[in-house]
Amino acid sequence: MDLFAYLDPGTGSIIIQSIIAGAVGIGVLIKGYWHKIRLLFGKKDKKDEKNKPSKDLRD
Amino acid sequence: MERDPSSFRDPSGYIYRDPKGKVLRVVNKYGRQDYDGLVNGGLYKELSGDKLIIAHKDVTSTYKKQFGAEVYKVIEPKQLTLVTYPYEWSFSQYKDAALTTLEIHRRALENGLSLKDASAYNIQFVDGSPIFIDTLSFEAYSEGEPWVAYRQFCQHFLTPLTLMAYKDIELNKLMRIYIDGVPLGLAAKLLPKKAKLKPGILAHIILHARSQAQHENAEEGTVKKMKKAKISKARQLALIQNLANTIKSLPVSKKNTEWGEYYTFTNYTKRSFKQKEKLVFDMAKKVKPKTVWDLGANDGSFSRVVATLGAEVASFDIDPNAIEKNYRAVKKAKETNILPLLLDLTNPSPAIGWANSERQSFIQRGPADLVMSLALIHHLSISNNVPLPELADFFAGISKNLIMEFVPKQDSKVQKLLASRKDIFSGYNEEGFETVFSKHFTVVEKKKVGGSKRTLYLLSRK
Repeated sequence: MDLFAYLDPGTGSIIIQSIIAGAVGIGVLIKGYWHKIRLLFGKKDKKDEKNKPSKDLRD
Repeated sequence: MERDPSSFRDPSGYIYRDPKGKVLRVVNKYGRQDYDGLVNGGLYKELSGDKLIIAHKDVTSTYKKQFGAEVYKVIEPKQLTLVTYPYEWSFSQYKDAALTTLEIHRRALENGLSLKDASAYNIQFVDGSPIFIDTLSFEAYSEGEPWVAYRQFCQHFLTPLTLMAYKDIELNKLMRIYIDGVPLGLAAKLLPKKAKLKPGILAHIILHARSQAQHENAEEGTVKKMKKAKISKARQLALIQNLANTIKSLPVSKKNTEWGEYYTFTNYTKRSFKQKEKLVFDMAKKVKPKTVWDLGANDGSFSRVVATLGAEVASFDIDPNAIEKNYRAVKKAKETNILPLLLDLTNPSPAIGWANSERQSFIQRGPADLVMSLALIHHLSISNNVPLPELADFFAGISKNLIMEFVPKQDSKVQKLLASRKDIFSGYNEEGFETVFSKHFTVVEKKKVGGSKRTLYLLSRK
C-alpha cells in the first residue's frame, strides 16, 4: 500500500481493516452462493425480483 | 488574500479568503493528478449533480497571478452561509453525514478513485442536507490497497454515533475535546456490554481499538505485515457496506427531556401564540434579513415563521431532542433554509484545534443579519445569573438586528425560576432592560404580546 498517505492511516487500523474486510467479504460471498443455490432449486426471491436493492449506502 | 487557519494538513491545496471574505480553494501542482482525476474522470459531475459534493467554478484565470508558480488551479466553491461542526449536530444529522461520507467513498471506488480523507469537518449542511466540501480529498485507487481513511472514519463518525446511541445522546460533545475524532480506546471503555455484542461495533470499535493498542509501536514486523495487507475492491465495498449497516442500525434514543414537548405546555393560548407569530413576522420583514439565528428555537416554530421571508435560518437550541425533532421536520418537508443546531448559550462552541483557530467559535461565525431571542432572556439572566449589561454586549456582538422577547418577573415562567431562590435581580424589568440595551441598540419597535405579560422588541445595532 501507499505508505505516503498524508494522514497516518495507523498500523493497527490497516491490519484490523484487512481482517474485517476478509470476514465481511466471506459473508457477501456466502450470500451470493446461497442465492445461486436457491435459484437452482427454482426458488425466487420476491424482494429481489421486484426491486433490486439500491446500492446507495444512504438508503 | 489570507489562508484559512483550518486548512493546512493537505499539501494538495489550501483554502484562502479574498479581502471580501469570499472562500477560494487553491490546487497546488502537488495535487494536480488527484484533482484532475476527480474533475475529468466524471466523478465530480456525478457527485455534484446528486448534491453530494459542493459545486465549484474554475476561476484560475482571474486569480492565478496572485498565487504564483506553485499553483495549478484556483476554484470558487459555492459559498456556505454558516459553517457548522459535528458537536452541533443532532443524532440524525450526524448519521446522515456519516452515510453521505461512505456513499461518496463507494462512488469514488466505482470510478477508480478513493476518499483519502473522511473527516467529519468535511461535511456541511447545505439546503437542508449534508454535502462534502473538500474537493481535494480524492486520490487514485489501485487494486488491493486498504482504505487509508478507515481509522479516521471510525473516530470521526462511528465512535461518536455509537456513544450517542448507547450511552448518551449528547456525547457528540466529545468531538469538542478530541480534534481528530473520539479515540477508539475511549469508546471501548465507555460502551455498555449490549453495544459491544453487536458484531459491527465489536469489529470496528472494540477489536479495532485492541489492534491499535497492540501495534502502537509499529515494530519492523508489524510494518511488514501492514505493507502486505491487501484488500480487494469487492471486499472494501463489503467493508463500507458493513460500516453503513452498523451505523443505520444504531437506535435513536427516545428519551424525553424537559424541552422536547415545550410547545404543548407554553404560557400562550392558541390565540396569543398566533399573535406572537404575526408580530415576529412583521418585525423580521422590516429587517429583510439574509441570515437569521433563532436562539432557543426549540423545535423551530418561529424559525419557520421567518424562513417564509426567504432568509437562511439557523435554528439553535440546547436540547438535543428538540434539534432532532426539528431536523426530522426539515427532512420530511424537504425544507432548504432551516438548519437545526445544538447550542448551549451559557457555554457556546469555542474555537478549537491547532493554535485555537482550526474551528471557529460560535461568536466568530456572526454577526447574523437578525438574531431572535424569544422566551429566552430569563434563562440567561435569571437561571444563569448573567447581568443585563453583559447580555447586551453579547447580543451586540452577534447581531445586526435583534428581536427580543422580554419576559418580566411577573410572568409565571420566571416566577417558577425564582420560586426556589433569592431574588437578586433588582434591575430585571422592562425599564432596566431598555436602558442597558440602548448602549448598543436603538429601539425600532416595541409591542405587547396579548394575553401575556411579555413585550417584543425590534432592536437595531447602533
